[in-house]
Amino acid sequence: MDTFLQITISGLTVGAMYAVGTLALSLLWGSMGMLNMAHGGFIAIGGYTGYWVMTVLGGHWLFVLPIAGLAGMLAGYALYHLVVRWMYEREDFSVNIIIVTVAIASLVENSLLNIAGPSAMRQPFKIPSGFKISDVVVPYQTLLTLAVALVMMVLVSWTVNRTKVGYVIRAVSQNKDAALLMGINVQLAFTQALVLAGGIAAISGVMVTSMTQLFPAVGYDTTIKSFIICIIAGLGNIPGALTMAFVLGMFEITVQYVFGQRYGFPAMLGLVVLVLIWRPHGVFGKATVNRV
Amino acid sequence: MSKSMLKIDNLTTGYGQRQVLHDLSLSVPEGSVVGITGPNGHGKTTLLRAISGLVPVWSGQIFLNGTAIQEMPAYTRVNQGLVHIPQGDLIFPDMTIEENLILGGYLAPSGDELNRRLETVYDFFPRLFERSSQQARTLSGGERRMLGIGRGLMTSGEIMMLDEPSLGLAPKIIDHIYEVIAGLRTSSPTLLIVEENPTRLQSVADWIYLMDDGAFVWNGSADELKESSDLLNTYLGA
Amino acid sequence: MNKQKNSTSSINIRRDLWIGAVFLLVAALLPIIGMSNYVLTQVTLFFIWAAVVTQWNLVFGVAGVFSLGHMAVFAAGGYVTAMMGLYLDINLWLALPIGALAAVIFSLLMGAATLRLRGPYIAVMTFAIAQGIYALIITDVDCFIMADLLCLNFTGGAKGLIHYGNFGFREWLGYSHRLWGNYYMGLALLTLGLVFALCVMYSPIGLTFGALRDNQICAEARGINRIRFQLLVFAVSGIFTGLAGGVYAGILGTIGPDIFSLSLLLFLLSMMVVGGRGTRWGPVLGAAALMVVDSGLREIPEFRNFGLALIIILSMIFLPGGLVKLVHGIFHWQPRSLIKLERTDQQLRQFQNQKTSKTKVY
Repeated sequence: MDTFLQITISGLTVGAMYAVGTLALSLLWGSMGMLNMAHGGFIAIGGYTGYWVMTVLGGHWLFVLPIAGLAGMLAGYALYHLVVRWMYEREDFSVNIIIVTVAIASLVENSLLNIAGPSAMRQPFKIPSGFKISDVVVPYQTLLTLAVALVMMVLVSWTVNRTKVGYVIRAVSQNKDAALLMGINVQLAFTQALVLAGGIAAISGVMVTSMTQLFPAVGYDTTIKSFIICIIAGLGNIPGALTMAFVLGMFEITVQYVFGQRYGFPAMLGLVVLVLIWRPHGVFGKATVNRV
Repeated sequence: MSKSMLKIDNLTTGYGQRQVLHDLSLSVPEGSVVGITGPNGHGKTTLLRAISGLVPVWSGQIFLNGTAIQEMPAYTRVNQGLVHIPQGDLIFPDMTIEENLILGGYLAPSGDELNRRLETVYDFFPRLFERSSQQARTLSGGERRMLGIGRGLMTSGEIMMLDEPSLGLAPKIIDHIYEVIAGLRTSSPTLLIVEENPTRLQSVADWIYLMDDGAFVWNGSADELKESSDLLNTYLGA
Repeated sequence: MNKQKNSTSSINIRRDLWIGAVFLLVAALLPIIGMSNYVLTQVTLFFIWAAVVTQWNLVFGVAGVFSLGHMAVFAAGGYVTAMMGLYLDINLWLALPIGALAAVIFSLLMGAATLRLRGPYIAVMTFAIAQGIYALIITDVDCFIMADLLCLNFTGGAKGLIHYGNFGFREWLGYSHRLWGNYYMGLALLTLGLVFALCVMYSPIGLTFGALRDNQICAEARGINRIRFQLLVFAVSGIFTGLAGGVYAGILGTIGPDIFSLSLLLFLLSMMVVGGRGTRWGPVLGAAALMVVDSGLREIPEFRNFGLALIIILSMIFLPGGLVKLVHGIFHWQPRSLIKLERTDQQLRQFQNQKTSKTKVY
């Protein structure tokens, strides 16, 4: 019973982090067809900004999330204006952007390595200890992580479904040409999507690094897992991706408990490969009509 | 000589290395309906897409109400008064009819104006009003066409370009669509219509251009076209 | 029309043969002319990486299958070769083909795993597979063999594999010329690998890969079995990649999980991208360019990855066709495309004259 509880709590936490990751990735994939391999960079930027705010600036913990979010938004803006903007109109965009964002991920990691050094640090944005349910300790940080993730999911959902910005992003993701013909500034919509994705990725970065550690390559793990979760759900399907994030998070933790830590990711990957053989567009994905 | 709402000078463009349009020139006088017809695959849709900015222009000029727009990004051309109702409708599949229409009115200056336009569209297309909260992806071909045109009406510009309004529709629905187009002349008097079926076009157009292989090989009044069956035979096998 | 096409490709083949022969001659003579050991090793590495990228180019550039897991195929070849030497005491020369076979099988499996996926999905999944293998190797901490109180992991773990033998160059050529053995081995690998890749590209199979890349739906509509060809390209590209892995293991004397690193992936990716993906000489040109740039970047090791990343980004933005396109632009293509347009204009004018003479009747 205790093990079950422990697994559930860990699984939910991990799932929550993946869920936020899939939000950011789906947003960009859906609106622009952009697979952002630099997502890990946003996570790292968020984590380091949080650390910097509390340690170097000596700021109050209340400021951490908003400032990290801001840093992420700036990074998203920079990514659009310095790189994506020039590549969007060209053919093979979906492949080229993967290559470029892989390069950018490395660039960010390298920069952080030079600025902050390679050693892993503790993320100070952390609530110590927790409470007990029977024999299992539920860390307060876990609850905070879940709460933050939930808030962000609600925030993104509200933005996408209720605001004009979200309305426009949805239109652009459903039919970019039609959106242009309505007078919608599609470039602006992309910028907004990248800014939003950057912001939430950075905030999730603060939480991720508080659960693990803070080091330059911290974002890669979450990125690749969030990606394969998006794919198994069906790229572009946000509710599906959120669901699969928790399902796969639980799956990974269970495998780790039963077989050992090292088998978590490979098992997750194996599951995704198998599911994709059966349903290549993802569990909830729709087969898209490709016009020749 | 009434002023031309849309004027194209020596337009040349294509896709990649392949040239599709060769040195095209045309003029759409204000308040008139101009048609473009010709065999499929010869560049009619490419022309409209070049005018609205979905396809970049290699050389030549496009004047909308006197302003050169060929360098402008597509979304600003809409602001200048150009409405393009594209081939294939290009509706937003996961939104309702009403949401689609509201997006059509994206540039409307006020909420009141938006509502006013919405009412006009619903008057033209009562079917759309009935199904206003239905998902666009569930619509039939005729309903999609109506939605496309309705959306264009919401955008409400100086000139409206329609690309193949009768494509893939049953004759009765085409009748309805062309009734609407005829009725459009009161609210949106300047129209440019691409239509593969010259008969339909003759019923609404004042002036018709014949396109073959990306070039205009003939232009004249609708009556002239009606009279010369040879012309129709050569290019359209009519 | 067909005769025209055949003559252009035979012109291309002849030109490629000449270019290849010249490079081969120069490369073969270089050590004899005189080279420091450092440069010798660097050029040997260049041969190996260039060989890998030419094969990767078949999958990524020619067939349009965006696999980011190619280094795992390389690793399969290298690790299996090393393990054959280490655990079964097989002579490394004999272990090479075994490593190549393992690489082909692994590549096939990767192709099968991503069979029904399209485009960017394949990139993510192959990348994930490579990372998964990396994770398994890095976390391999169980002792497989105890050698004098030293715990050795099956895959070598984070430290990697060593002491599995070598190609015997020191015995044959003597200590001072042992690096020459590595050099010529690398050269042979690149030459054979490149010839193989060019043969594939010129063959009907290569053209089919291109057709599937350019317009999959059309190609399938014409009866091309995408599944068969996707598996084929993965298998075929695995041969020399696996060999390269084995050669790498034999020459360096050690093989470890660092070959899965993002920086090496980026390094090879930039070779393909900067050179010109899908082209015949792009991988070699790109490899040469990047090795040169890298020797400069090594002066500032903290910024090496930064520099590589910047090169990729800049070349994707400003030089999308790669160096090959740049070189061609200097020599050929511009006049040709002008001729093409001129002819179209002429044809059109003729046609319009015909038409207007007809319409004059009305």
